[in-house]
Amino acid sequence: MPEILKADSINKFFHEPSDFHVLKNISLSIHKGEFVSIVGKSGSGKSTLMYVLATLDTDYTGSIIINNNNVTDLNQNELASFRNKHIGFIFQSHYLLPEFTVLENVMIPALKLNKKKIIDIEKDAREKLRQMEMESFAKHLASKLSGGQQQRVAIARAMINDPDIIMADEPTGNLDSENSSIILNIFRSLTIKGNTIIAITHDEDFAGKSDRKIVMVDGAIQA
Amino acid sequence: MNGNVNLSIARVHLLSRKKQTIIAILGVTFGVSMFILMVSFMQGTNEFLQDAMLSSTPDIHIFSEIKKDYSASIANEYFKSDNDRLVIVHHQKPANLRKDLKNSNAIIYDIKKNKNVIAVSPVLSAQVFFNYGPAQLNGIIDGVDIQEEIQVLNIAGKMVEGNAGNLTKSQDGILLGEGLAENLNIHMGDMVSIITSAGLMMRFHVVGIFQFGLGAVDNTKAIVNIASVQRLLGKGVDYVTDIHVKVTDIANSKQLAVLFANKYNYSADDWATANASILATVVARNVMTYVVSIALLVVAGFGIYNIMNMTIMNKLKDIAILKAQGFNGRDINIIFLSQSVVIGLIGAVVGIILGFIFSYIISRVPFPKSDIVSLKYFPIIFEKKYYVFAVVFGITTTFIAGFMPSRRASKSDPLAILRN
Repeated sequence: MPEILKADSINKFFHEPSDFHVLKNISLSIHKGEFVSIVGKSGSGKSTLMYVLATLDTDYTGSIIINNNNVTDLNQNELASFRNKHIGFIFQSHYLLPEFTVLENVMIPALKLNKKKIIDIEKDAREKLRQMEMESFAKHLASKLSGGQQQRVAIARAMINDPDIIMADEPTGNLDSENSSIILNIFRSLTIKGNTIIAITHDEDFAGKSDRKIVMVDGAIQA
Repeated sequence: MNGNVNLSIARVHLLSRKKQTIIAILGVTFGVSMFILMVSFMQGTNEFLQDAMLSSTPDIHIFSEIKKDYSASIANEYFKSDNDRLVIVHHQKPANLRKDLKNSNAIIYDIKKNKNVIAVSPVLSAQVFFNYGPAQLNGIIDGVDIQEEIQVLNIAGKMVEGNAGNLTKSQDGILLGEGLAENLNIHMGDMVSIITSAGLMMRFHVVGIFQFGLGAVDNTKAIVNIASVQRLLGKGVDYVTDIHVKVTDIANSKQLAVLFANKYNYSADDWATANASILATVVARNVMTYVVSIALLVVAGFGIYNIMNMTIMNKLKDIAILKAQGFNGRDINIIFLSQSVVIGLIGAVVGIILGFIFSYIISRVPFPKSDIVSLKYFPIIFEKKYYVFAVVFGITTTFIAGFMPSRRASKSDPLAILRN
């Protein structure tokens, strides 16, 4: 399988409240279609690593190449459109826009990308929702859904622009075991279809079912 | 959702918190409508006063000022002070003063040759008593050549009854100020007696009643043919105390007044000098109007600033998620700035409509009767430029008020919010 993400000697320091070496010389490479989980105690640097890989945090040294694009050299605006096109996000607290309908939430990243007609974007969004078994909620306000339902909508939203990588920050952190296993099954089926997923998790069960487990200890990857 | 995603998001934001949006719009509406009402009323007042002034005051007024300098004495001339002799006269009495303008015909002829002058009107003015039955009031009577005078002052346009031209038809005709006529209870066609300070009396026939709108004029002034006053005072046909001049451009009147004063060696006031006290209130009113109105709009701006700030504080999470999904700082700026621009636009449009309605209502309200000014309704002027200014200023204020919070939103760091 081709390499989709390559990070080379990533170093990052926090300067507040005191100097702290949070990421220590991290190099890793992830292949297309891989389902990678990053685990570690809190403070081990796993979230920091993910946000660096996701291009939201640019205060690091080293280099990151995603799908043959060197993202380390891009400025903030270029990174914004890069994320729009290449990276899908799923967060612990789902973060849907509460005033918008489920369908609109899913459509917004595609409307921003502005590559397709609205009518096609809506068709895509309904298709993604159907995959998440959420199509019947399309016209509901996002704020009216349960946590598990919102997280499924968030996955549909992450998928809308067919990104190279999906980044998930504790995607099951706020869900019960039933919803967690639904989300896990969705992730599994997505990777079978060729999607790449990087997920931070506390959940050993979740991590155990991923293709690869990266364990972070004190800012470094444990061999 | 339609084409422009940023504007669609802005629209959903505005509609999802209708109450806040309406309050913000009302702030602008109130500011703009009150601005329009205040400016229209103040400018209406100014215009009314200016019109009253210009129609009751000649552009230039030439007259003989009573001499107040008694330093020279005829005794001095006669005894000749020199090194050996000192002549001092204590407490002189004024000599026989002449109130009239000597050689008035020549002066009028000369002024008429000036190309900046439209009309010249000789006037004989006298302090008199008006008598009607037992009622007696003092005032001023102006003897004029009405054909010339109606070119200098807008008497014809200020007649409430009768016609200024009636004076030419009846030698004993008189035009009375509206306040004077009312105080004496005189109507058209009545006879009124006029008594001079020397005790001479003459009766006049009321052929017209005028109203300039200023109590100082309407309550004291009457206009008759100049020949009547010359007879009343026992003077000859060239006896004239004042000359009224109308010029082509009132901006030149001060210059010309100085020129005439020096040339003919009499006092000459331009209209602005004669009405200096009224003009001072005009300036004060203008300053006050603009200060208060602009303060209103600035307060509305602060309201919008607050609401936008609050909205953005509540939406920091949404902003972070939008940024993670690929919206850049400019997009975020457009989302929030367009909200305040829409608030400003709607507020301003509703504001000018309300401002017009308020102004119209006020312009139909009868003005309370007073001795200072006489007006039928509150003076309001409807002028396009005030409406344009209010809209431009209202939108500019909301733009600035929305700009700072939006900029902050566009610069916010999504990482700080997403990581917590």
